[in-house]
Amino acid sequence: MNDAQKQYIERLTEAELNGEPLPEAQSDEERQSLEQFRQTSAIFAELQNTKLVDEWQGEVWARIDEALESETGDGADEESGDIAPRNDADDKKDLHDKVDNVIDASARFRRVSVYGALIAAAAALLLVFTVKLAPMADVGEPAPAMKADVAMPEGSPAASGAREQDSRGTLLAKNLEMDEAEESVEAAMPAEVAPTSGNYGLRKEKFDAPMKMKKSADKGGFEGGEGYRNDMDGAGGKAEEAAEPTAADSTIVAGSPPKDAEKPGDDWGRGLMQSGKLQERPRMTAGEVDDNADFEGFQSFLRERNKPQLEPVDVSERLFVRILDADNRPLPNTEVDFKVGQQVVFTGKTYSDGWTLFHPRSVPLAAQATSFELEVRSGPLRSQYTIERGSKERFEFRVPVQRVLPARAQLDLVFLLDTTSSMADEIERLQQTIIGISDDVSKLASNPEVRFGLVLYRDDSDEYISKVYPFESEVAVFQQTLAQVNASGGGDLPERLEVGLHRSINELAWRPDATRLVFLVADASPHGRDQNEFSYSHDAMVAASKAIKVYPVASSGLSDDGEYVFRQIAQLTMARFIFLTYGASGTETPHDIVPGSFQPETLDALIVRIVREELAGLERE
Amino acid sequence: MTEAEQVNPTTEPVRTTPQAGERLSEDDTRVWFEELMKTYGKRVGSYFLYRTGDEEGARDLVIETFFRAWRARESFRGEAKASTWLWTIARRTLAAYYENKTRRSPEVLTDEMPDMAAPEEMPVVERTTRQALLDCLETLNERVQRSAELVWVLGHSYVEAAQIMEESADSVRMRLKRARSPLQRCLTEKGIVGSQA
Repeated sequence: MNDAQKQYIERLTEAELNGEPLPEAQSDEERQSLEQFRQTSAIFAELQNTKLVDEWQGEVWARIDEALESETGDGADEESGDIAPRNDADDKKDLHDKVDNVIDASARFRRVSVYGALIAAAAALLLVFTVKLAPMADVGEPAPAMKADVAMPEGSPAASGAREQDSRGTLLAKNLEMDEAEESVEAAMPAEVAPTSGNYGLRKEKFDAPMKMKKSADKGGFEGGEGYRNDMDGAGGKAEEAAEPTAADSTIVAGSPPKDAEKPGDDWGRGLMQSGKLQERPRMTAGEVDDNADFEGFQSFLRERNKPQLEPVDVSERLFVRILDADNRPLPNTEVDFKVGQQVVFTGKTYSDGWTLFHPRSVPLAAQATSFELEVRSGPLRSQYTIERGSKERFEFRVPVQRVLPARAQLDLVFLLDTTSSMADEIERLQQTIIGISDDVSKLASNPEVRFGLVLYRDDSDEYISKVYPFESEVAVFQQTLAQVNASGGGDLPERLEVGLHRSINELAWRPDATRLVFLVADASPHGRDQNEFSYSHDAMVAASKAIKVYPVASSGLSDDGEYVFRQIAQLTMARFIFLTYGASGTETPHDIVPGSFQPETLDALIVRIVREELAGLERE
Repeated sequence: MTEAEQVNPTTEPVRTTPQAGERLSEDDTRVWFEELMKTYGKRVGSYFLYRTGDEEGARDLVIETFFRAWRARESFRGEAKASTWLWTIARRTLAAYYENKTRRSPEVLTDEMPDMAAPEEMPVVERTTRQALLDCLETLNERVQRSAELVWVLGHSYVEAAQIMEESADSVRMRLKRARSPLQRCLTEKGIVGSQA
């Protein structure tokens, strides 16, 4: 079906909806479309002419009368005519109880399933830590900041669990009560995530202390109109500094599991599943769309879904700039200043394929410019170019240097996870999926030097608002950390996504020569800018200026507002919007996705494929 | 005449619909409910038939829906449209039906259903066609699917569909315009519609 046919069918649909005569077909293709249109309409018309024999209404009345009889038979007073103000609440409750048996039974079933899964997960986690982490706590010297919290209290469930590590059944039996299981897991957690460790875990009262939005070197670019620049100068020095606690963000969660501790084997994550400690469950399927590719559709989506509480960014104009070396190979991590006169309005950094993206209308100072001066900084070399606005959308510039890549491709991969209770049902599956991903990525044929980061967030008044775990190059250690994640808190919308995103972008020690990716997995939208000092749209643009791609993964239940935010973040960072899919064929999605525009696959396969694609630009000849 | 009636003259408003806050006498409630069944019974039946592909099941679900509607009649205060209210009940009834099927314990629902044989004069849309339509509509995202169900399967005007979905008529209209092409392509691929009549 070509575009002309699609447009003709749209005109037919419009006419049908308005009750107008169908527009005549002008070509053979249109005649074919018209015939198909009529046939489809005939199917609908036939369905609408469903015949239900008249007796069905009698059946309804019979059931109603029967119910009313039992109602009165139970001693309810017969109201005199006016049926609305019935006051016998108990009687009404009985009646409704009978009617709602189906739904109640289903709900009970779901609750039992969820609790069962949570109990099993808690027991599995307890076993994991008693078997793996309890011995680790005694091996080697823990990081200094963790010392005080590493030792487990004698007699705690974790300590006793260590003595019972050979019997999973015993542990399960001991933890049938949910509260007990939760306590056990908390007690067994390593220091950096234990709520009792004073310097760790972001507490509400600390978060409420003044936290200035770090605009890094952009100096108020979001509203002040001076533009965006990345702040990752040199060899990541600033980023390293940012990872250190400061007066403003003294609540950073520091450290990862003890480096000197005995490390589990490479297949530890998979082993967890194979041993049944993490129950193997059906893999999640997902699809992805590139809103920069179907940009017209994306703009329609933005117009349709825009609301005052969201943070619209004017992306209607895009300037794609690609930097190539002397041999036409993409130059990654090359800074590109977009200037109006001498004023830098945006600093982009090229992704692994050499592209960077600037939205001129999103920056007030750039909005009226007729051209931009570009300064491309590749090592010591400075190259100047000019872009005439309105001429075209994509530009490629070749600079007279030879690309120099690290001996092995570097990959910094961060998982930014919503760990509020609404994610509880999916968190275990996510753990399995991410464990699989981390295994697969670490074994890619391109043999990248991978580091994994983890950032968690919840909401105000929860156990923590956000936690940042520094990059970890040992996949097994990362998997251990990940396996400790549980979901709790939240309970309403939105969640503190914007805090997690801000800290991911600004506080992790990203390597300057790495391919930088964030996978944001969540099912809720962030708080609006009026409710805090952070702005997800600002941080998405900062991410773009640092060549960090943020791939949002929409989990079940993501609202329309959430979808708007997720797709904005993806588009701004030249990433793609990922969404879980459902149904036997894996093609069902609640999101506004053009049917047939995606190919469902398992989530882990999809993410590994994306990682592979991101690294493809760095392949050596 | 409302916009809805202009667009879809077959829509028959329920005459005795309670106004906001109004409480009807028992007799008036019965009249209102009778008209409700007359007005929406066929649409609800179409919806269930299209979703289940099972004539007998669709009929049972219609009965169950209206029975539930009666039980929930006090929740209808006339503030929303009767179709919106009834549509919500229908969707919940269907959800319970599917949950039962998933759990393979149909007795929970069917125990309350009258035992009826499928009448011979049931709709003539073939099972394969219905299933193909169901499959094709399910490739659309949920909002598009709901819009299509309301307008094309249930016969609501897009204005009514918009009211039910609590959004603008323009949104529904735009969505349906975009949906028809992929739907038609899908039906063509499945051999349900073709260039020859």
